[in-house]
Amino acid sequence: MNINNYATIAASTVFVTACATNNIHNNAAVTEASLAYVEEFDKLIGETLTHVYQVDANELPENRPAKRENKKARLNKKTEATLNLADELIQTRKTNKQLGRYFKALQALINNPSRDSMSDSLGNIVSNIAKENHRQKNKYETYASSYENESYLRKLSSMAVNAHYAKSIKDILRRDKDTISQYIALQQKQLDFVASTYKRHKETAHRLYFKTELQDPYLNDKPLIGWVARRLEWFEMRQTEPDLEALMDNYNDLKKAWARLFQEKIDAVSINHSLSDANQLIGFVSKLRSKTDTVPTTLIDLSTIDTP
Amino acid sequence: MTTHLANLVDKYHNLILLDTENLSPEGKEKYVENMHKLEIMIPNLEAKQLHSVNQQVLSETANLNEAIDKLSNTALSDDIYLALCNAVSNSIDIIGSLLGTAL
Repeated sequence: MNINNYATIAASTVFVTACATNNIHNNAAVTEASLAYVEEFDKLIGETLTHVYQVDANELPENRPAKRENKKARLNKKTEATLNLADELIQTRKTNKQLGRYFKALQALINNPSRDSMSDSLGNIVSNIAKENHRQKNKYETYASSYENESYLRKLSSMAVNAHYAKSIKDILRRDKDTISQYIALQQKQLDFVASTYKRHKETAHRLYFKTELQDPYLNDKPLIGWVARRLEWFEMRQTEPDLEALMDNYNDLKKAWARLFQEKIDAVSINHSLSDANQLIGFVSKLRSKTDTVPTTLIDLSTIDTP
Repeated sequence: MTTHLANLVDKYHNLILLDTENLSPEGKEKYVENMHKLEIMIPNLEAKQLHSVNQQVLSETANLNEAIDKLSNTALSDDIYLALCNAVSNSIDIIGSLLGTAL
């Protein structure tokens, strides 16, 4: 086989594998954004759990019943209700981690380091076979004239391995399409519930703070020591409401990006457009955390409460 | 959040800020009773709604686990294939060197 033959094969292979390589890049980008989402959702669940415990602990001392048996009944029922909700949030966290395991396994396959090793090994095999053919045809003369072909052989091996991986990943996505689509759709519902639970608890916390720290001392003519600072703190809390709607919109974009991959409508521009929004997810909850540091915990010291 | 739950939350949030100082003892007792009910009903309803979605997700978990296993097996097959390629490559090297020595 001469250099022209190699060049022709290489050109054809480049044409066939160019799309495959592009698909691998798109798959890698969507998988990476999905992993970032899984991480952010996990943080949001953690923050929501913290708020659930804080609100529970702040609600209980308010309006304590007069009778001892009523106090005990209230404490038990409230504990049960809070634990019910916390258990469901923990369950959501587990299923989110499970989805993360899938994305990690997919990412590991996409970025499989053995791809390069496999390409080298195949290159060696093909090159060695070519050497032996040459030696036999040329009565074991020197192989030097064929050395230049070796780099083409290695490039071809690399392209073949990339095409093999692209096809393998395409087959996996076809196979897992229904499961992952269903899981992503259900997870969007989980996100809606968790976000609404988060917002509800935050609003409850604000109101409890307003009542006990601002309203009661003000209306009852108690000395207003530190009252001005607490009122300013309350205004500050109201100003730093996190935009959870944006988080949910971004998840929708991520869902669309997966739908495009599953439909095999691989359009790098549209996928990148979706991901540019979805990538805003990254660090969203981290920002949220810095904002929610101002959530009232002054009613009761909650520093000793363990978060599962 | 369903309308029923949203209504309960609205009622609860309004009740938190109610000035109870001038309520009669009976009114105060009723207020405390309502607050207790809402403080238990709301998280229970939230848990119930999340539970229904969690159950749907759990019904898909077996399929997801299967998909994860298949992904891991694909990676394993690639590793086995790589080992095979290395073995073949080494064998050819050995044969090449033997032929070289023989000649």
